[in-house]
Amino acid sequence: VSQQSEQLVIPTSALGGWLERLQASYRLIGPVAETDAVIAYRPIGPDTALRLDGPRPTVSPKPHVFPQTETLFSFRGAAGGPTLTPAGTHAVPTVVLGVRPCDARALRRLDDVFLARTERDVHYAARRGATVVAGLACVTPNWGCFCTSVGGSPAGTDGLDLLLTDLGDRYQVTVLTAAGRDIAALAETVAATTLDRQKAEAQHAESAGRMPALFDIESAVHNVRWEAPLWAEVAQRCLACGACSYLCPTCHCFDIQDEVTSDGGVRFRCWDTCQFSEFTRMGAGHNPRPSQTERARQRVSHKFKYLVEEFGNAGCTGCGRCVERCPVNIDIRAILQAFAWDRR
Amino acid sequence: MQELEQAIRDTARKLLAANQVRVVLGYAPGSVPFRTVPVFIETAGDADRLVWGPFCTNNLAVYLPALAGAGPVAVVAKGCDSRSIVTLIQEHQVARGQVVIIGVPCTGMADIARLAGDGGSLHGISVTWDGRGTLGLGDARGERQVMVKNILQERCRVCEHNTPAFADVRLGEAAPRMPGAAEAFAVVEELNRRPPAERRAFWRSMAERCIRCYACRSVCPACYCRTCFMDKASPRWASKANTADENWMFHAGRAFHLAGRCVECGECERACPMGIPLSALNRMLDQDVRARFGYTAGLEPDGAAPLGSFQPDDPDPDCSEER
Repeated sequence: VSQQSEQLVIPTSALGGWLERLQASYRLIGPVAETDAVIAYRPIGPDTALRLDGPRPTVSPKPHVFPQTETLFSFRGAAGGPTLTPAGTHAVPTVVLGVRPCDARALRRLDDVFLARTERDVHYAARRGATVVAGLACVTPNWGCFCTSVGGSPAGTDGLDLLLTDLGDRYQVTVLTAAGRDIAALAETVAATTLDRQKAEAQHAESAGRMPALFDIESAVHNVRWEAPLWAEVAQRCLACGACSYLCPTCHCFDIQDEVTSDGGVRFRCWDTCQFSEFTRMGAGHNPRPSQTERARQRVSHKFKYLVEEFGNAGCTGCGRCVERCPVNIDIRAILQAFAWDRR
Repeated sequence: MQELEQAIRDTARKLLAANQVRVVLGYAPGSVPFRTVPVFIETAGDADRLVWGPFCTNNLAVYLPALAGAGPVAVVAKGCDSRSIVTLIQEHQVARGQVVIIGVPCTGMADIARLAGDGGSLHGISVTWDGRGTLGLGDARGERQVMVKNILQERCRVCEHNTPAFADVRLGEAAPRMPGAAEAFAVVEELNRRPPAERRAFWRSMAERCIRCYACRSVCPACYCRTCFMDKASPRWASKANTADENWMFHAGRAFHLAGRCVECGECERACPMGIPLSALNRMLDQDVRARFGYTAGLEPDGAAPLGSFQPDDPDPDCSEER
């Protein structure tokens, strides 16, 4: 955190008032505990219980900028040719609150894919441009977490408009962008004291200290290779579900489908994953990745090789969801470790 | 060295050394001390990689259909897993002579969400097992002990067949009946007491939460269709759009396909990242099959499955019956 960043304090007692004012001006999204084990980013209404503390949410905020299903246009058959109607874009001013630094950084990786090319994705651009990301410094690492191994930090600010640090009776606020300043202005804040700053910095250092890097990411990226025998070992165990990809905050592959009725229909896109057997299977039946071995290679190589080559950034921020939710304990940390040590 | 683990290793070593099987499917240590991984042991010398304990949660029968035909396979099987294998034999997905069931009496698998405790994290935790019923945990909060029976996965707590009903090699002594075995259908009865509209709303909210990752389908040994109806591109029975209706079509369709075949191993519910209580759905169908056909899935490889066989006097309940 740069020394120049504006530092404020919101007393915990003033949090409720801030949330109310945020809801008046924005669509507010935040972590909500749906069951004992599932926390998801959901719209926050006046009676919604926000779950700011506790473990990193089960699902990342990705669906709010890249929905699982999104209509692109509708079409109708008519004399003289079909008519197409674009679905329009969704630019509702939105604040996503309580975003962990890994997930904020993941939004930047989605930006790489959807915004950095010459052709911007208009649907993603509209949602993303209207979204203010209010982060929360991570205190409790989950068992799959490895942000510090892939260049991140529990208090990282990349992709955030402001960062909250929970100091017990108050939140230290680090304002990072103009949009962050706008939403901070809706809170009853006081200037942060030197002690507040020191406490926040100490917390950030302590959190990072709990998470030593597990491998050298540059070595791992360098050594990931097409012929590695490890792909077949992973594939033997992999059951080819999409839990890893669909929980991943940076996975962004989608399929495009038509839903047709007698006189028209809609074309939509929906999440897809390289782990499914029908992913990129051609109409005539050819499958460029005929077995799970090629699919295992694809997921890891896409994140740690192809995206690095194309954008300079790996498509992984170490959130650990794939690690924790793989039904057969395929642990991407172990895969990267193997490559980093060049044992594969 | 606990006895069951040693017995599993000895059995695997013998089977492989005598060339009775090509591979032994079992559990090896996972990437963290509270997980194991499915492992494919192909040489007697590797048998000592096998482990046993309260984290051997996977139903390894799921790997059998793909392995069948390449030589006999031995499977380390808990009660639920053995029932899945029996079902696969009944349904001709694996030949009886091609599988050796190594039956292990099971005292229940630990729920790692409960292991963490309320709001706790398993980050950096050390876990030891005394080979009986106690786990020793160690982390920054200090050392403590947890009884496995207090943190069981719900499907294990209510398991009715924790000692394999059918096995080729039986290891150890029969395990005591699980504490909640008589309550296996309590979840169904609780749901059935709710008015239909409330039940519909409940399942709809679950369908809305589903992300269609298909982890439930992937871990299910009974879901071995080469092309699932959900994946069929032509004709497309279901849309790939994630809507509550399409998602419900999937879960209802899967539940019906599992009627009389589901062994309540509960892997679907464990694998679901979104906490959807899929066991309740499957148990609902199972309760009907048990009531109407007097049949429990996965106990006898020679038994005729009610929905896989025809009898002239099959029950034919009135379709309009309110339930």
